[in-house]
Amino acid sequence: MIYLKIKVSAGETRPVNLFFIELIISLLFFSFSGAVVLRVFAYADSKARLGSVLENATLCAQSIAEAYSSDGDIGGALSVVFGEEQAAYADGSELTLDNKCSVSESGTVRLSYSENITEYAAGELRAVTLRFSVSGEELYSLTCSAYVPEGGAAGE
Amino acid sequence: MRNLKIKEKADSVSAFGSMLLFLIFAVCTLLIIVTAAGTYSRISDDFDGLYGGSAALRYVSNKIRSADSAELLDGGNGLALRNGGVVSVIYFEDGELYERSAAADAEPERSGGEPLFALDGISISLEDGLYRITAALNGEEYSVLVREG
Amino acid sequence: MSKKNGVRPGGAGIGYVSVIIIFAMVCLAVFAVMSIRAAQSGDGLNRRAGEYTAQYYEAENKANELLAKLDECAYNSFGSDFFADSFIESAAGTDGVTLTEESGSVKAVISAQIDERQSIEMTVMFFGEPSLHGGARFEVLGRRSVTVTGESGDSLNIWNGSDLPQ
Repeated sequence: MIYLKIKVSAGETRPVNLFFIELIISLLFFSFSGAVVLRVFAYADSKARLGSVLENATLCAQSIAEAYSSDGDIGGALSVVFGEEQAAYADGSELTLDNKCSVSESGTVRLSYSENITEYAAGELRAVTLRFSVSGEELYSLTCSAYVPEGGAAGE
Repeated sequence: MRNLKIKEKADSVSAFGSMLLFLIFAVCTLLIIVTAAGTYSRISDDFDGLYGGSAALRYVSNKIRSADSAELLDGGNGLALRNGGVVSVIYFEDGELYERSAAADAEPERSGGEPLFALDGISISLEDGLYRITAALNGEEYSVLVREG
Repeated sequence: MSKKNGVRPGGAGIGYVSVIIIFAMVCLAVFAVMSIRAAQSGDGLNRRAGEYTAQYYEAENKANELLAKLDECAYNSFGSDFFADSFIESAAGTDGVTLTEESGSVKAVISAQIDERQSIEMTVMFFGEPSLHGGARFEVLGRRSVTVTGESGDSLNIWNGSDLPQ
């Protein structure tokens, strides 16, 4: 075993605690590399959380689109998907959702929808664009449509 | 003599300090590894839920969309889909979603199918021309609507 | 190895801490890489699924647009003596639409591409006599997604037990 000694005074030496020095250096190395690894973990965690929100948003968008495409009524489609009364969606173009895409006042996901109607001689082509955003950044968007003829069409 | 005793004490304190620091370091290392393992476990569970739960919903909804006609089976945990000369029966049993294909004139049977996805449960209901498909996996529920026909 | 008064300077041997450090860093690095891979795989899967869903509805929007145009042609054809001929003539040349006459009514198959492999097929019957169908000008008979590479009528060869394989 290697020993280091320091000279304390004339004729007196004291051995240096190598274990202690090794521990200090190792702790320094561990803290630097641990910081890097924890950053990687934080990035992977936030990516996974955002991915989970995107997954739920896609399923929610599909459900709204399917309900809208049957009759061209966005209020009715939202009430079928979110389970609230249709009147709750009569005025408005935005909803606040939680990470599982359920309506929640304190949620972080914003769903905004806008309807565009194109008139034809025999009816209306209604299209709705759904936009899901988190912290102001658009996460997912989808446009669905329904043709509503004047005079109606027979059931499918 | 007295100096010797003081030196001995100093060495003991130094050794004790080193050990204490080592112990703190070991505990912190263990905590960080446990936290990292927990984070990875959560990310992995999310991925399993994504692959198992929502992929099952997408699979069933795409099958409904490509079928000529669909029929709910008893209990709402199965579906018979007819497409040309084939009837595909999708059903849930013993923690798995199965699919079985047979000739169009055969009775839809819920046995002998190929396992597709491992799930905790699935329910399919039809209301106002919309199928509501709900899959449960790892305590999470995923739901989607698909138009009939 | 020398000891001074029975107490070994340092309290413990050197090297143990380094071994523990290396072990811990290897564990953490492996977990970090696996977490990143799982998160990226999930992200890629999500994006592909989201893209396909958006493409599906884009195709359906195109199909609905074609349906609107065909309904306009049908609406304009009701005044004429031969509804089917007039309707087919006015709707001829519309991309993605196949028209066939069936007993005075016209069956339209509207096709819109989802991606390279799949398309939506919407089958609509335009009635020559809406009064016989509750005033409705058309009925959507069905809507399905088909794989482009094969014919939509293809079926699997299911053995029915009659002929033994050679």
